[in-house]
Amino acid sequence: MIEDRWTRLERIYYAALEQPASDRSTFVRREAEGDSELVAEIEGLLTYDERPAAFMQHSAMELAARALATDADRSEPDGYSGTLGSYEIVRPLGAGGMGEVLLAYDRRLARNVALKLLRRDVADPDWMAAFRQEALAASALNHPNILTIYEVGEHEGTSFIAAEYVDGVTLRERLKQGPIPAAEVVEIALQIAEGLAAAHEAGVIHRDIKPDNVMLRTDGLVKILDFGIATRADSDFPLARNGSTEPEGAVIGTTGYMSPEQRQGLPLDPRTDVWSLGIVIFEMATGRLPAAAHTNQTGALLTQNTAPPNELEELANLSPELTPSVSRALSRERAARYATASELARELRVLRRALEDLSADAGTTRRAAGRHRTEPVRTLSRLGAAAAVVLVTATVYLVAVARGSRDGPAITSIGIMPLDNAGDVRDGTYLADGIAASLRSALAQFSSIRQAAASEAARYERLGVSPAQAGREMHVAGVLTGTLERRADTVIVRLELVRSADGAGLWKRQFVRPIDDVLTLQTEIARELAEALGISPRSARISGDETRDPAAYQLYAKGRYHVLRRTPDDLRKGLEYLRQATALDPSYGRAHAKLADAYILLAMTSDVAPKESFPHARTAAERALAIDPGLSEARVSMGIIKFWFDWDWSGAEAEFKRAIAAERPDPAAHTFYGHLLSNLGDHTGALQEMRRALDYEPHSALANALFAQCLYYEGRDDESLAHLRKTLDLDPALWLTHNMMGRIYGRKGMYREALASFDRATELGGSLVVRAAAGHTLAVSGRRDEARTILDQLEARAAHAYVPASNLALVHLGLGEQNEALDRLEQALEARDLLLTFLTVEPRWADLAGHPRFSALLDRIGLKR
Amino acid sequence: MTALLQAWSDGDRRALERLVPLVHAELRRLARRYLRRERAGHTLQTTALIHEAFIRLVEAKGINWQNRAHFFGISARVMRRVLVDFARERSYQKRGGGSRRVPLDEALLVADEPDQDLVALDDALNALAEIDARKSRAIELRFFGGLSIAEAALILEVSPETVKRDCRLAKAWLLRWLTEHETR
Repeated sequence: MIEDRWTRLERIYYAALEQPASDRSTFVRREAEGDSELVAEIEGLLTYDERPAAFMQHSAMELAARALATDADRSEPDGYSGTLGSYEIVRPLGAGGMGEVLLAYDRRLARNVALKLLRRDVADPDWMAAFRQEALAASALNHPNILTIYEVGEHEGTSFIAAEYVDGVTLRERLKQGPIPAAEVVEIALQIAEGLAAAHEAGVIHRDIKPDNVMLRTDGLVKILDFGIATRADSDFPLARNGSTEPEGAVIGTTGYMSPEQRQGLPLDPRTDVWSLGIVIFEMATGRLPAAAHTNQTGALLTQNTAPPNELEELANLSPELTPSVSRALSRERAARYATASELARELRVLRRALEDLSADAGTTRRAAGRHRTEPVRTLSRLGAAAAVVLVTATVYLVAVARGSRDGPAITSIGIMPLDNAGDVRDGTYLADGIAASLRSALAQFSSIRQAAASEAARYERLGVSPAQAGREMHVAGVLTGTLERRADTVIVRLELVRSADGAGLWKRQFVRPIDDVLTLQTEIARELAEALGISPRSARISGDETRDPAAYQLYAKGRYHVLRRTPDDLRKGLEYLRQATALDPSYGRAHAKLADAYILLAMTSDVAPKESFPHARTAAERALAIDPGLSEARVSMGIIKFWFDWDWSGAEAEFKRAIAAERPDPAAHTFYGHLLSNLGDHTGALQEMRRALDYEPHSALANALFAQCLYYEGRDDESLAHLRKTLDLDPALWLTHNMMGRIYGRKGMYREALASFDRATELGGSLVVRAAAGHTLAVSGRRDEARTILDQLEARAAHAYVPASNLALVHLGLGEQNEALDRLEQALEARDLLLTFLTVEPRWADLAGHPRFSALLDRIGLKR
Repeated sequence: MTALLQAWSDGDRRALERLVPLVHAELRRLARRYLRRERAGHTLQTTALIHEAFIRLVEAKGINWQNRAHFFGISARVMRRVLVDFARERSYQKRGGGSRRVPLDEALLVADEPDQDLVALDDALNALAEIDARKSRAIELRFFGGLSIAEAALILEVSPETVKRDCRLAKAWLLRWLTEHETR
């Protein structure tokens, strides 16, 4: 029934709307034929006809978004999602006193950052201004133990700090697991002290040192956070304000770690940080705060000059070595403390040396002592015998300190840092790089001393850490640093060898030679260095892969310098220099090897036809190996040629295995062997090789990107993506990393992100494969016209230059044009397109699986269907 | 009709859950525009983005659909559910779980628009559907689905003129219902 009535209502209603407004009432009454209820209903409805309704003018999405915006405007920023300016929020990292901390991805610079959102009540403009000045001043020191601040800013009313993202835990979190063993306490304390020392030297005081403000990176590096949070010098410090009504908890600065003068609101100097660090050391060693931390502003304990004796006794039981330092740091009279953090750092360094000697000299003692050190004191009291061990430990410690730091164990491992170009001559840079490299190989020939990877040394050099610290992080006992200065035809090389453990200088030399003697100079340096290290050189010969021609050497050094930069331009320049070098000295093995490397890289990054570059690469690699069959780099090159160009898997494998077995294996041997295994579908083997490469070069962006590629081919997309984000931290400018990210985003259906990554990869000099990948993504995301434009561009280019046919195939495939894709792949086969070695593992080709033409292709390449 | 679409029309909660984040993400993106005091006015773009995301999701599952219009029709229903749930939860949070019906914040509606409430509108649409399902659906497609008159006409298999008329009467009917059911 209701339908009939409703239909009638509808008819009259619409008809009424056709009438002039003044006639409608009469019209409705006439049409309703005395149904007064219907008349009332229609007239009622008509009154709403002219009324605006939000749901007619806006979409629900819009209204909901506006509601959300109003909420956000009124309350705390909703930081858990979306973006903040150019930062893309990844996930929350935690909440601090100042506000939330988020992991974010900086799209401009393509790196991860820690984003701290500041609560509005904290971030008033005055405070922000003062904070910015202090935080940036400390950050500008670029000290490895101080967290780098990238930006202090505001976006849509949210104040934020963007800082270096540290993969690790805060010391506070670490302390939740209980006290920390003495050796580690010293290590952490030393790094904090070193960071503070640098800040103090620059006139910046932290004022809020506490376990929450110390990050322990997974690799052991310690970072001090939040410089400048407790900003304002002296009397401006919140506590100093008389009659302050702020409750203690709301005050910036954390009472337990505050120095007595800080509690009293007195002017502060670096010694306040020394006090706080003293408290932190005590807490690390014992797992709890000393009583000194609990005193109030006027507490009786303030009258005592040092921490109570019974507390120090407890500390002494656990960490006898630390007690004197902590006791001095916790002197209530500032004058009795260390004047600066660097004084404390110096003492901690001696301590660390002593502990190291201890562990070397007293292995069995250490094992016993080490165990009880990690246990809380109550366990100690249960272990009667352990008390005796403490005494032994303390005695050995004293002996070790008395022995001084001059003579230590023999240096059996070394890191050769890049030499600084101290002159203003441009040629100095490549010469400095080249000499450091030659020094490494010369030293390797003389002795079996273990060396840190060159890429690792270069990384710590870039980070600007002290040589000793670089040595510690590279796990080598000694570090060689130096400068090279070129003045007209003279070269001056200054070198210094320091001990990683304590930075003590072991050897220092200056060499002044005519430029033409630069080759004999390297041998000379290597020999002297070996002597200083107490190593008797195995032989004094210059191996066959070096040259005796200074001019050839200089050309080689120049060529190597450019090849390492990897851009198409640099590669062409590098090729030219290396060709000249090999022309001058045809028996120069190392130059041939580098030449092979350059030809391969050219095929990879500049889209040179494989049939043009690989034969040259093969000739160069063969020559290098004829001169020195043990030249690992040339073996790797030969392996890559057999892998990418010959599609001779077992041949490639044999080369990589020989390179790995070489006397001085090139870490790239593991990387590319892993790459081969990955492409052949042996993911377990691939990851194993990649891990070996990373053991040797943990910070090589290329090795990390290829590791991620193995994960991706195994289908572990999320792990791969996480690993790639870390790789970006190492080197945001490696296009391969962005290209990989784009492929994973594409597979996940995150097309916008994928395209952004491809754009970035192209900007960074990525090869055409990146454009093709973008075309494929556009096509599958429905933007077919744009995909077709890319296809047109690639084809236009192919008319006058080499374009890998596999790239064209990829875009066709995205467009669903399987026949065209197969046409192109068959062309690629003829051109020996190196990307065909990826056909079975790269998921984008999976659409073609089972197609007879595709199967025929795989057979011809030698890949399993 | 495909399994996933079938799952949606059957009201499968899990299928819906996969769409929720997409709608929420778009919601926040739009909200940020408002926070920046930008005039949005990109309703159609917004819908297009959502649809694109839906399509991606369906494609990622390796499912193809035959009837695009049908797909959009279902997406409008899904968006309605997500947005109404959003509004319900938001009002719940604001009132600490108290009264059920809370208008969208007055502050965000311009002066000449009456207060409106997604939750109340949802109820009103249900009531209208009992009398005239097509009119209720037309509003759903336009308001929640963000579809144009022409698109709605295609889905409802009527002329665009009819959609216009449907919407006009539906609007009056809904406004009256909302006025009568105001609970403040």
